[in-house]
Amino acid sequence: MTATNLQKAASPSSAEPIIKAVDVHKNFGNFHALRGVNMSVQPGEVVVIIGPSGSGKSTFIRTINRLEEHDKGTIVVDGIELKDGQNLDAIRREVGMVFQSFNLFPHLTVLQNVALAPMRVRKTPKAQADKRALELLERVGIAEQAHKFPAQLSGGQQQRVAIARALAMDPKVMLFDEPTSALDPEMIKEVLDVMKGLAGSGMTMLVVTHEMGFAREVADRLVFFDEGNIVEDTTPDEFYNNPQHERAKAFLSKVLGH
Amino acid sequence: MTVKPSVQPASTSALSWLSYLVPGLGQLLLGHTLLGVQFLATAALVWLIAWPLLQSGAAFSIVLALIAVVSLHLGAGLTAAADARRRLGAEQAHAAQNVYKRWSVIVALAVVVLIGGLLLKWIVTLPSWNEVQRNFLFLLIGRFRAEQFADQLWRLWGFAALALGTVAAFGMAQLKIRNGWIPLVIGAAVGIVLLFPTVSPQVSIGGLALSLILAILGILGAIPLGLLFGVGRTNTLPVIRGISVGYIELFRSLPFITVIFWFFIFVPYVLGEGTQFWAVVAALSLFTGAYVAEIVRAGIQALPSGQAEAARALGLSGTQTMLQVVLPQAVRNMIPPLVGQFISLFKDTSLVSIVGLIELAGAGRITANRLVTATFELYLTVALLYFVFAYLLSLLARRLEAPRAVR
Repeated sequence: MTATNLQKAASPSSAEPIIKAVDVHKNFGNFHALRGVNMSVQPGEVVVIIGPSGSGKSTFIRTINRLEEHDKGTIVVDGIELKDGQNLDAIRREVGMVFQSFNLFPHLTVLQNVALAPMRVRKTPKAQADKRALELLERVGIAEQAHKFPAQLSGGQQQRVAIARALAMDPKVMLFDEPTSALDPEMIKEVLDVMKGLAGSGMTMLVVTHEMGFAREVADRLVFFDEGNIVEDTTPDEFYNNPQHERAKAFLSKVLGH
Repeated sequence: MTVKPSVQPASTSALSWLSYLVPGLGQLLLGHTLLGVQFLATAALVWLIAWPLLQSGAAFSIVLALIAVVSLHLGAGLTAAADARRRLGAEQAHAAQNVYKRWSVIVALAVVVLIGGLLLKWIVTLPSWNEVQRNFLFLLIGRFRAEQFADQLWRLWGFAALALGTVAAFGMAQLKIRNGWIPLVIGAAVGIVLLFPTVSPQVSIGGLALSLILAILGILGAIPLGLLFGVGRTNTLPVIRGISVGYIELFRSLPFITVIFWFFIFVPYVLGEGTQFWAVVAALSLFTGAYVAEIVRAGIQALPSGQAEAARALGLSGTQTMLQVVLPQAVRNMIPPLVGQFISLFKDTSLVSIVGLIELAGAGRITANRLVTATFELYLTVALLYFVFAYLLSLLARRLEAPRAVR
């Protein structure tokens, strides 16, 4: 369980990290899902997290907006430490999340999906929230679907609505939990294009994905998880060309093998 | 089998069709002597038994005879179908079976009409319907028909308000007009205001009217209770969850009749005389509320957990997540079991007569005991009245679901 590249990743620049996780542990019953994860992310960084299933990568990004509570260690997001009694809603407003299964609200139209949180959480007036929602839908390329219900949209379109919905709260960090895994191959590109645009605009992003092309093109850093810990933390090119860890090599040979 | 289609002469084909319509005769004409004789013999035998039974006119014998006739028909039809497959090949056998199916429907309908007609004739000719007619108003409104309440009778228009509001709400749902709840609430409010003095402080109304009032008040009480404790049961705080589970398990484990008794004695003891009616309403509400709570919980838990996660991830509070995201979706799943529960509640009101409230079942029993002669007719009327209103509720609920299913 040695993390050879951790030191290198932990202190790359002088700026204050927007996410700082130190020695994060998480148990699900007897299963030790996270075993002392350390990671810090600078504002504007795009970090791609890969790893075999069950390695804890999804659990880790879910601890960052506290959908999972960590059992040990500290996580600081935008200067606020995540712990019991904290105003979690304040942190969740700063951190947007996109799920594998979209999780759009099926009883609301696309526009209502995007405008709901600003209206309810930020108390934005309806007209203003709708206007902003339409702008965001424009940005992800589906403004013309605004008055349809999610079930009437394709998977790719639904996921783009989900991205717009998360952006509506003007988050400082965006978490993506396997955003293209539930999509048909021909729809993956439209979602990745939106994510690339987002990365280009300077958004801080943590992306759990198996899309290697996306990682190489967009990611500043690539983090490889295995058995609840980070075993490589490096640049995408370095990871593909010169993986250090045996498990990373084995994983790469399987993923790139087909 | 790649033989030319002309192998089967037209006349034979027509005869084979006949064999399905009149099992036995057709077989005989087709040259299947043994099969035909068998059918005809069986038919003769069955009719030999059935005919005198039918003649006797006794209900039991008639049913027996009909069963015999139907089994003959089914047996002949199935044998004919199997025979057709062997002789004519699958395609023609299929066509023949379709004819047979249509024929079966006609026979089944005839049987239903015959049995139903006989039953109806028997019911209509029961001797004491005039007694029911004389006491019908008592079944509907109980003692409220007495002269001392004559100046209060106009209050019954409250039921019209309730019905009007309900019909308007469902009509709007049917036409996909929004805000159907507005006429419903107005109708309910007017109805309750008008009818309230008939039950409080003194219960002057009875019969079906009292049953309906009890059911409506019981539902109005059970919904908030069910929502509160159903949502409470999904809460992460052990105290809230514990209280909810305690309430639900307690009331689900008690027979309704003991709950009524207990409330009927306990509530006036604590709150003073004149609270008996409200004790009964509370018993109905709390009892049904426990079941509604379980329906609410099931509706919530049937939703994918991702829905609540997405709402929480957006920064919505726990309450906002429940009200904006979870409940609106859960309610849709809850409607069918809720309607079942409310029908159950309406029927449960028949038990409150044991504490002296003369609702429909109580009114029926009192009248039956007084008249002695018209027992069957009275209870039949009471059953029919319960059925009509329970079925109406079921029908309205189906209307409520229909426009949502389209989406």
